[in-house]
Amino acid sequence: MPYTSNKKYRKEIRKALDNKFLQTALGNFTRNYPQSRTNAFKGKDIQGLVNDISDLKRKSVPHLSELYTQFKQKAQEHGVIVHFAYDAGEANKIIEKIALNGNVKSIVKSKSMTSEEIHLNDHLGSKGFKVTETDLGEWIIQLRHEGPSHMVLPAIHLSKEQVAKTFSDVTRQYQPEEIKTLVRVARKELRPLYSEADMGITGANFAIAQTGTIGLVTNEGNARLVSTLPRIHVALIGLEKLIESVGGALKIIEVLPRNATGQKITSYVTWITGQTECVGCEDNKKEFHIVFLDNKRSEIAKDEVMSVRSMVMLEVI
Amino acid sequence: MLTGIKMNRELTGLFKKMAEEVSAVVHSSKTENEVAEYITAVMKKNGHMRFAAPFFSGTFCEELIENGFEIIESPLRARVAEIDAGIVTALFGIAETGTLVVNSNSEDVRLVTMLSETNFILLDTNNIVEKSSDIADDMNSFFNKNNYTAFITGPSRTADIERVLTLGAHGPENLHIILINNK
Repeated sequence: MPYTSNKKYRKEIRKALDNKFLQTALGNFTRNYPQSRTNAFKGKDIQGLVNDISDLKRKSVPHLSELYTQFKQKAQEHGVIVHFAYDAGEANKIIEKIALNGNVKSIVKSKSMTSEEIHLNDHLGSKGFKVTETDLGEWIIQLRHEGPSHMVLPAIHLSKEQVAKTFSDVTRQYQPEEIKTLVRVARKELRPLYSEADMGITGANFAIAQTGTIGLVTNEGNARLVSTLPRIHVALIGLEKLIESVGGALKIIEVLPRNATGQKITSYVTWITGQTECVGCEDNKKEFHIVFLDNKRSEIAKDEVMSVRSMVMLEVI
Repeated sequence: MLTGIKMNRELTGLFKKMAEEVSAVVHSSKTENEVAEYITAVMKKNGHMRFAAPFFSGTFCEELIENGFEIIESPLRARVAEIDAGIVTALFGIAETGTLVVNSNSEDVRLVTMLSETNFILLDTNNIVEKSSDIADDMNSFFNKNNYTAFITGPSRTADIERVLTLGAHGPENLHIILINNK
């Protein structure tokens, strides 16, 4: 909700700062995260990795438009429909049109901060599509009509008691304030939706121009279901995720989970090149769309100070 | 310089250590018969009845049926709610992170590794490499054609509620890696 005055904004900040749960949750996070990050990087030449990623971004960021052309050609050879969205409004319209043409009623999504950037759910919801977030944190905040409070941990501002209350409301039965049980509730409630959905929307952590491959770095496994069970897959990708080669992608995977969650690697890294098998679909092949979002990324890429530094930052979060 | 066998033994040891660090169970079997016996024991312990083995046949499946389990026929899409457990084969293992590389072009392979409560993955120890960059060329050639490749490291997990690590978010809660040696 937009803040109409400075005073109201300050009041909200005060309220959050005085919240005991937030003090504990964020305090623990600030203490524990640097430790797990350090452990994950143990034995790695951190400066060497930073230099490698900087080099990689220096080679790709100034050439986003060429990389896009190369990616598009490769992906099209493998049956993918590639779209370019100049801004948020255009991206929303493109995805809406794909849904309309595909006679889509319900949609499942995996976590995509790029879709949060363009308020995709609000747009699709207003056009009558039923959109369900399947990442645990994103599903919790969708049920509570809230936005993500963190890129990696979208529901870090909520306690298990609050989640239990939300899940009790949704399932219309009492759910205990126990994390293991709450995770099972989400698993059970969301499972049937993957099969029912006509369309699955994912983001992507990188797009490889030389092969037309997209990569998804995840832990829960929902992105794999979202990209497999529905008959249409739409991947929404920020233009800055374009890189040249498979070697570069492997390098990113070495750094990204260590930095983001303190893991040496996530449970899943999914590499999708072109249309893949979808039993019961036309020719047994999945309808696969990739939507690249510019939304001023090309302008930032031209900025001396902002470009490489910020793109490296985007990679490590 | 290490001899091939010694190097492979060291890589296998590292792979096992790293996979166990992320809660995978690593077991070695010498024969197909032993694999079936191991799966039977784990299935019984976990209370599973139905098993998916899309690229397996013959005595292996017969033995599981004999032991009282139902083998779910393909295509698995029609029976997504029934897959208690299942088995697929990995192409490579990456020792540094305990990662399995699974060709998932087949929708059934994807469904087994996504929907099973307990997922068994076979890995030939001759196919264990040290780090992911060792298979960059292989991956490049896979991606010349339409392809779906999965890196799988440990069971599915989440830390979305209060940052408490919980296994079995949307995918398997148990991952059993069965090491074999085909050489």
